[in-house]
Amino acid sequence: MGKDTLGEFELLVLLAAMRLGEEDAHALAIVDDIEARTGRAARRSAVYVTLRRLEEKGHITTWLGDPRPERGGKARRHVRVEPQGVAAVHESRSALENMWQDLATDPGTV
Amino acid sequence: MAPRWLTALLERVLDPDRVDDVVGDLQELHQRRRARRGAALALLWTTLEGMGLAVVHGTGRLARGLAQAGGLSRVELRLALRLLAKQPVMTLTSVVALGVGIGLVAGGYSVFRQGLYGELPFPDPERWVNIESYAAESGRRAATDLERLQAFRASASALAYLGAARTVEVNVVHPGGEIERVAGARVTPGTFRWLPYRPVVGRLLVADDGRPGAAPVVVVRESLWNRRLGGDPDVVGRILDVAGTDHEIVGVLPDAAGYPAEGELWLPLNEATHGAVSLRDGTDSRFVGILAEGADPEAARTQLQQLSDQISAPGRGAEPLRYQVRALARLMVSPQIHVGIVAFMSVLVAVLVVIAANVGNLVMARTSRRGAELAVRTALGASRGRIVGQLFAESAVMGALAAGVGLAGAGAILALYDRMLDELPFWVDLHVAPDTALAVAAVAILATAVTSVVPALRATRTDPGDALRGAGRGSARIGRLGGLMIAAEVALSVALLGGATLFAEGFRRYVDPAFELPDDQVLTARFGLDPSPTTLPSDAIPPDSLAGLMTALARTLGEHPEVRAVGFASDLPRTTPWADPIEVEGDPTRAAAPVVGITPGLLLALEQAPVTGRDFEATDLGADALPVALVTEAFARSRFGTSEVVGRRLRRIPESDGPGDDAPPWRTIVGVVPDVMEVAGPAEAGGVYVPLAARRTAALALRVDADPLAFAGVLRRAVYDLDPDLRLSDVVRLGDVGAENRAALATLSSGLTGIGVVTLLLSLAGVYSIVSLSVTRRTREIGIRVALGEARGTVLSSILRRSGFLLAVGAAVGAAGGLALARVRLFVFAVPEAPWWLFPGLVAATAAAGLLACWVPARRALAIQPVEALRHDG
Repeated sequence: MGKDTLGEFELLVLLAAMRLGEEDAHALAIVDDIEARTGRAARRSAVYVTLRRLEEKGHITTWLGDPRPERGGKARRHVRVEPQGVAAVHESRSALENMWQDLATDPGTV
Repeated sequence: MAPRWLTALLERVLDPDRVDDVVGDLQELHQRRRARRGAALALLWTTLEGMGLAVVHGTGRLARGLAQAGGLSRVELRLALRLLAKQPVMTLTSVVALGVGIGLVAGGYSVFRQGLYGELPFPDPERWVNIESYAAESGRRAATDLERLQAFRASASALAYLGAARTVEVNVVHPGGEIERVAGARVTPGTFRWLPYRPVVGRLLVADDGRPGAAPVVVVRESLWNRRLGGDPDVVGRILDVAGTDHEIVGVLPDAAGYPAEGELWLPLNEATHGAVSLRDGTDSRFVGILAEGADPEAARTQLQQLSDQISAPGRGAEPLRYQVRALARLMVSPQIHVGIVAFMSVLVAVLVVIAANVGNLVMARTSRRGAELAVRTALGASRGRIVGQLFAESAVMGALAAGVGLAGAGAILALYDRMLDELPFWVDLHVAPDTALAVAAVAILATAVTSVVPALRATRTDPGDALRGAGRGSARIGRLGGLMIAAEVALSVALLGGATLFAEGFRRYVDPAFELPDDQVLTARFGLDPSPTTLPSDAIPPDSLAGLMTALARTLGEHPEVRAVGFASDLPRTTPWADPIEVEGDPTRAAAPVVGITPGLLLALEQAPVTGRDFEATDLGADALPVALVTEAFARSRFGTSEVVGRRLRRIPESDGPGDDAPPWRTIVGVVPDVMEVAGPAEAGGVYVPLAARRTAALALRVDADPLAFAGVLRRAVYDLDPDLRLSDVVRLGDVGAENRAALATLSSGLTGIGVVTLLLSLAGVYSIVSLSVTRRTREIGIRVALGEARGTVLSSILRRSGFLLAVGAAVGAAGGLALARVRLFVFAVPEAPWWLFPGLVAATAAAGLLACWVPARRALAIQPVEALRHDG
């Protein structure tokens, strides 16, 4: 596999961003989504670092929206998952699925 | 919203392109938490989270920045930061303590340098001089007369220019009819030739503007231009109503133009007569001289003195005057004050030295405990330089953090005071100058770093094998000097804490007055005459004309249905009047009590009525009225022993034993009133009211049924209609009188306490490190003594003896110092006498805390198993 293999947390962040869609994907919403679906706490600073790394890899692009009063006049940074990011997610998924296939029929016993 | 300081901190430490998302997210989360958990929990949570973010993002940036600046490797710095973060209490104590020391020295030095040895922001600043004249006989300030002025202008060759300047406050009437009080200056226009100012629009004042009969013109400051004139580039030629006269705006000066004060408009003074203002009484018009090229102040003084002496030669009838000429930016500092300043600065530096030495002690103690770690690194091949560099980096980072904290704190406090003190001369801009900041920070960082290098060199000298076996333990020890420093610090913290406690108590009494007043229903203001050239030179305003104006104003205001009462006073409640020595008839003891002049309506406006006797009446104010007085109940009780004092007499004691006819008259007491006067002395002494004498300014109190501040416009209009030249300032509710003063004192009070607590923490950490070190060093000895059956108490006392002695000496010296500090009466409010238990209590508390600091290492000592101790040292 190439150097662009996704880490587990990167995968979670990318999946959340894809699910939320361009308009609603931003750091806070991603944290909430991960927490709601996995039931485990996601650290916000970890999400920032991950988003930055994903952006450096070219998986996502981010841009600042309009200033909002409830944010003390600060803007939100929105996240768009690029085709390269989508491809990376698929690649991770098939890698995982391939790994599962060789295991016993009832994965619950692992 | 999240706290402002937190978002400001984050904005500083985060990468600029990530500030919006991170701070915005924090704000958004804060809102959510507020809605769900309540304000208090949300605040706590957000603050903790924000601090965490600041540390995480800040250390990374700091490490990068320091690495670039110091030529150290990033790994070393990261390691240093991580080690500091692993001992948060010690790091925080050291950083805050060092920061306080650095801030004190940098701030104190900046104030003295800029306040006393400032430099004018002009070309040839040394040519600007201040000229003052004194009556030769009495030595009092005396005005220069027109004849002398003309002689100086004609013949004083040492002066290239002689002008005058005066700060004023004038009423400006804006087109809507709104009246605004604007600070400005009257300046002889010729002065502008010597100033480096370039107008933003239009022109400066020119000589013709100062000729008699010239059309009234005004130059406005950029701030006023933007605020009130819409920044209109075609403003020149527009008319501004200044003090009831139409003035043509001829130019706009940039905000940076500060001469002669930070006002917003400049009006011309008559060039030839200086508006005659400086020739009259003690108004604050000042001569401004520009020395001729090559002349010095002394040459100018000699010339002026000779010219003056010719005019006051015998037979000429003029009063002899004595002249003084000195550089404009040099405030008059007597040698005593100079010595005082040097002493004060030395104290500040001593505080920094004591703190730095103690931080050094702590570093040394910590290094000695890391002997094994350093040995492992040496054994693994780290060079000695590498290890020393590592320890150096740790201390340097700590020093840098402390310098940042200290300089930021000093800068913030100076900025606060710069804004609050509007009496500062224009060239004084209180701030921590970059060179000062740099010098202080460099010294502090260097000092802490050097303290780390000595133990580092010692620690790396030992053979790694010895160090690992423990033989190298305790090679570092805190010597006699270190002990002395810890004792000094204990003393400093006890003195500061004691002083701060007393100060805070005095402050609390000052802000929580013992009496109730209708604070929210009374509007107050300063009100007075402001002589201006529109009425000069024949402006001899009779000093009693204010009485007529006050009566007229009271009548006008009384016509408003909302107004219940109007009164005037020399000093308002909620401010502390100066006390005068007062003599009571039949009792030769002299005791000081404040004397406040009031008019009949004042007590009514404050909703106070005499307990016995009567209030003042209009007839009491007349020039030929019988001298009368009112006293407060407390005064009656303390000076007469009874409140039945109507008919008794008192008087102010003359300042000096001059001729008898100057002695103030005996005043008959006509009434006793409730205690509604702030008293600076012992609280029970009370005060005296007298009918308000003729004076140039007075305070006004207005009891209204409406919201007092909503009535301010009516008041301004009434005063303006009476006379556009009248000054009306400080229009605030009674409850807000003196609020700025109180805020400054509150800052000072909490600052003192904070410094006391920090130094105490540091000294306790010092005690801890002494005991800890001595336990480590004497492990073997203790083991043997315990093995031989010595009582644990004896062993313990031999370990704690030295620390206990240091603590005791420090605390005792500190208590004595604190008592002395509390006796210094420097403030407008009385610092109360120390209660008997305060300093003994502080000493006991310090001792208890010190014992606690000793307890941890002492327990370690007693837990040492003899066999283990011997084996380890084998």
